[in-house]
Amino acid sequence: MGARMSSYGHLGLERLERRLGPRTRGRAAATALGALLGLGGVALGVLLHSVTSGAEYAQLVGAVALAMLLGGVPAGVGATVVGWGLGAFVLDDPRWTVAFDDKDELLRWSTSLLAAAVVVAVGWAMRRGHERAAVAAVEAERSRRRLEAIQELTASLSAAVRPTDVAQALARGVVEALGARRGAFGLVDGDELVVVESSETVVQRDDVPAVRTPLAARTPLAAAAREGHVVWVERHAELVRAFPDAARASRGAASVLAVPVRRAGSVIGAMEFVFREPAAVTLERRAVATLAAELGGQALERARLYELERLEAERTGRLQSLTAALAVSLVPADVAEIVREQGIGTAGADAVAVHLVAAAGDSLELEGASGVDATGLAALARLPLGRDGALETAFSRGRASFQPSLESLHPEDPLRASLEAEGLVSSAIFPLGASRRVHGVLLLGWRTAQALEPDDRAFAGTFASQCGQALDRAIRYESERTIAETLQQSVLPEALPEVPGVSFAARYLPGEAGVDVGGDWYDAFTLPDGRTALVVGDVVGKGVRAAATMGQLRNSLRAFASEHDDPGEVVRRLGGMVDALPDAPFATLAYLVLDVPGGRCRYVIAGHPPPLLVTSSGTAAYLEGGRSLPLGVDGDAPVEVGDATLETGTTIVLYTDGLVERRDATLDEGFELVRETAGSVSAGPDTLIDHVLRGAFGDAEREDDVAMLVARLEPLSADALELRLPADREGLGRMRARLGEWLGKLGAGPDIRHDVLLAAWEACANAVEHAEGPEGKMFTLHADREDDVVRLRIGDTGRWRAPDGTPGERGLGLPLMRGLMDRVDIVHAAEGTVVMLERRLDGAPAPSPTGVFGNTALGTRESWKPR
Amino acid sequence: MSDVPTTHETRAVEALRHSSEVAVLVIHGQADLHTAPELREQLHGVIDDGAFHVVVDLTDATFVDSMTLGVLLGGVKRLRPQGGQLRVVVTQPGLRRIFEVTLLDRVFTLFPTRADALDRL
Repeated sequence: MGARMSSYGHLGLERLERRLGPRTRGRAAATALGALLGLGGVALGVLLHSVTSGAEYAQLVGAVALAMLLGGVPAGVGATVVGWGLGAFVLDDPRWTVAFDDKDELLRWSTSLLAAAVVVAVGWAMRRGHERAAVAAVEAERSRRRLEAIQELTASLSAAVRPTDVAQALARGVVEALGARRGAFGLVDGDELVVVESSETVVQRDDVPAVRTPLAARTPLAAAAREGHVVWVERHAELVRAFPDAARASRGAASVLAVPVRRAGSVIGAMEFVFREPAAVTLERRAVATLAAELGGQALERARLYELERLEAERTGRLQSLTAALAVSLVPADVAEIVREQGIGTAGADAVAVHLVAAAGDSLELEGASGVDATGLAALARLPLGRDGALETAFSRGRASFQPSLESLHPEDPLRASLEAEGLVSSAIFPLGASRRVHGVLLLGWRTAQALEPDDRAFAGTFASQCGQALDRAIRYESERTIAETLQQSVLPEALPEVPGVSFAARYLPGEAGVDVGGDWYDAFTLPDGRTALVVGDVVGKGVRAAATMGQLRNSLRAFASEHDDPGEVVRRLGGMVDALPDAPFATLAYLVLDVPGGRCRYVIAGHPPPLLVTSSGTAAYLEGGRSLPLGVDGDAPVEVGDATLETGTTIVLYTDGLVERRDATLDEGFELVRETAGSVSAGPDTLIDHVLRGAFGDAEREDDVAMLVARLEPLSADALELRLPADREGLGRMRARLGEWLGKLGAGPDIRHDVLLAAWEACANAVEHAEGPEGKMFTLHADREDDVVRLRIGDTGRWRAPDGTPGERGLGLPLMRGLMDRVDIVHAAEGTVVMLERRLDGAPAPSPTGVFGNTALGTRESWKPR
Repeated sequence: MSDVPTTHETRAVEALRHSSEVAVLVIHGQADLHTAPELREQLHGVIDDGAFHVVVDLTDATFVDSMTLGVLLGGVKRLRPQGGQLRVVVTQPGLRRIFEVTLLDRVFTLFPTRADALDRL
C-alpha cells in the first residue's frame, strides 16, 4: 500500500512543521536588519575615514559588505552598495585599488576583518534571535487557534445529544480546525457506513441527510473504520491507486486524512478530511484529527447512553400516558381513538390504523387511522374474515407480525397496495385483545425501511397489549352496561299517571360515561282507592344485578301498594321481600301516598334522602318524619309513617342521592343547593326539574345516576269538580247530588243535566259494582268544563263487563252512555278503569247509531274483554 | 217530615192488577241498580201470577238507569214466548230519550199515558 500509516497518541507540537519557517515575517525582519547593518557600515566608514587612509576605508567597507553577504541578508547587499557609493562620494577619493605593501597594511586588514567578523557574528546572532521570536509567535498563534478549535469542538460535542449531532459537530469542527476542504463522518451500521458530510464552503444545516455506503468500499474513510488505523494519502495519484472508490468521488482532492473513531475501545466509525493541496497531512493535522476522534468517540458513547435513556424515558412516558388515557375510556370507540392518537410515534411509527371486529363477527372494520390520508385506506375499510391478508391473519391467529418491506406482503393483500399508496414501507401488526379474546388489530406503518430493533418490537408489543386489555374491558363493560340500561329502562314507567289536580314530571339521568348504571328508579301510579302513589328508590350497587333487584322491588311495591292502604305496611312487606332475596341487597326508598282532593300525604322514608316540599309561595323545606331504616337492614325494625297535609300549589320533589351528593361539596351543601334552587322556581314540575338539575350539576360531570320525580298539587279551576267517594249507594247518591249541583251552576239545561247525570251514574255505578278488593273502596270523579264542553273523568278499580251477545239485564250501561254523550272513552289500566265522557252543553248529543242491538260499535276504542 | 211515609218512599215499585191478563207496575222516584232487584222481583211475580201483558208506568219515575232497562228487557224475554207485550208509559222527554238512544223504543212499545198503554189490550 502506497499510503503511510501511523498512529499517534500525542501531539509533540515542538516538532511540528520544520518547514514552517518565518517565510514572511522572518523575511521582513531580515531586511530591516540588513538596512540597519548597512547604515551602521556607512557610519563606521565615515568614522574610520577620518582617522585612516582611503584604502583602509575601502577595505573596511568591503569587509562589511562581505559580512552582509555572509549573513545571507539580501537586503544587506543593497545597503552595502549604498554605503560604498556614499563613502566614495563623500570622501571624493579616487584611489580604488588595494595593495598590501607593508606590515601596517596587513595589520589594518586583519583588524578590519576582525571587526567585520564581529559585526557578522553580532548580526547573525541578532537575526537568529528575531527569527526565533517570530517562530515562537507564529507557533503560539497556531496553538491558540488549534486550542480554540478543539475547545469549540469539545463544546459542540458536549452539546450534541444524538449520535447524528455528534457526527455533524465532529465533521464540521474538525474541518475548521484542520483547514480541510471538506470532511465526512462515518458510523458503522452493520456492513454499511452511515456518512454525514461537512464542507467548508457549504453552510451546514442540522438536517443534513446521511448517506449509506458499504463498509467494504475502497475509500480512506471505510479503510480507517474497517482497520482502526489512521490512513492518509499525500497525492491524488496515490489516492487513485490505493482508493479508487474515493478518487472517483473526490475530484481535486490532493491529500486525504482518515482517522478511526473509537467508542469504549472498539472502532465504531471514522472521520475523513480532504485537502486541496498535496502533502497537506502534516503531523500536526494528524494529531489534531486523532484528538478530535477521541473526543468524538467519547461524545458518541455519551450520546448513545443519552439516547438509550431518552428512549427509555419516552417509552415509559408513552406507556404512562397510554395507561392513564385508557383507564378513563370505557367505550370501545374511545379506546380505538386513544390507540389511534398515541400509536403515532410508537417505535417511531409514522402511521397507525385500528381495526375492530364487526358486531356480526364476520369482518374487520377500520375504526380509525392517523398519519395517513383516510382515503388511502379505503380498501381496508372492511376486511371480510377468512381471507389470508396480513391483518386478517394476525386477527384470526392472534399473533403479531412484522413486515420490513412491502415485498414481505402478498401481492394480492389489499394492505400492500394501501401501504404503498400511503408511502409506507415497513409495517407491523398486533392483535388487540386480552386472554385469547381478540377484538381487533393494530397496524403500525413506517415511511422508511425499518429493522425494528428488539427493544422497539417489545415496546410496540407492550403498547398493543395495553390497548388490547383496555379494549377487552371496554367491550365487556359495554355489553353489561347495555343490559343494565335495558333493565333500567324497562323498570321506569312509560308514562306518568293522569291524576286530576296533579301535574307530574320525572327524569332519570344515567351517570356520565364511565359510570356504571345504577339502581335508581321512580314510579308513580294510582292506587285502587284513587289515591296517588309516588316512589323513588335506590338499590345499593351497580350494574345488571342492581338493575334486576330494582325491577323486583318496583313490581313488588306496586303489588303490595294495591293490597295495603297503609304505606308502613307496604314498606314492611317490601323489606321482608328484600330480606329474602338471595344476594341480600340494600335499598333506600321514599314512598308517598297522596290523597289529591284533601292534600293529605302519608309517607315512609326508608333510609332515603327526604323529599322536598315547595309551597306555591316558594318556601322550600325537607319533609320530616316517617324515617325508617333502609330495606334489607332489619326486616323486623318498626316502620314509621309520616303524615302531612299539603296545600294546593305545593310541589313534592322526590330524588335519589346522586342529586345531593357531589365530590366538590358536602352533603349539607348539596341539600341546601337543591332546596334553594327548587324554591326559586315558580313554574311547573318539568321546569323545576330542569332548574334543579342545572343548579346541581351545571356543566360538571354527574358521577352518579339521578332519578327525580316531581308532583305538584294544581289548584283546581273554579269550573272543575273533584270528587272522591265511597263506592256504595250513598257515594253514588252524593255524586248525583254534587254533579247535579255543579251542572246547574254551569247553566246546563234540564235535559243535558239529566243526560250527563245518567251517563256519569252509569260510569260510577259500574265502578261501584265492580270495585275490587275489600270494603271501603272509592271511586273518583273529576269534571271540568272547557268552552261549551263538559268533560268527566271517572276512575274505578274494576273492569267493564262485556255485554252478552244479546242484551241482558246488564251491559246496557255503555250503549246508554254512548247514546247520551258526544264522546265516551274507556281506558283500562292495571290500576283500574277510567271512563272519560264528553258532552256539549248546547244541544242534543250527536245522533248515535249505537243501539243495544247494533253493538258493532261497542268495542271501537277499548278492548272489550269479559272479566 | 211526615210520620207516614209516602208510597214511593216505602215501595219504589207498585204492582197493580188491571185485568186477569194485564198487570201494571208503577215506578216511583229513582229506578236504579239499587231498586232493580225489587223491580225484577215484582215483574217476575206478576208474570208468574199469570199476567199476559205488563205495563210499566214510568210517569212518576225521576231517574231510570241501565240496570232498570236491563230488568225490563228481561221481562220482554219472559213475555215474548207466550205472545205477551211489555208496554212502557214514559212521559218525560229525558226518560223517553233513554229508550231512544238505546234503540229500546223498538223493543218496548212506548206510550205517553197509562190509558193509552192499556188501550186495546
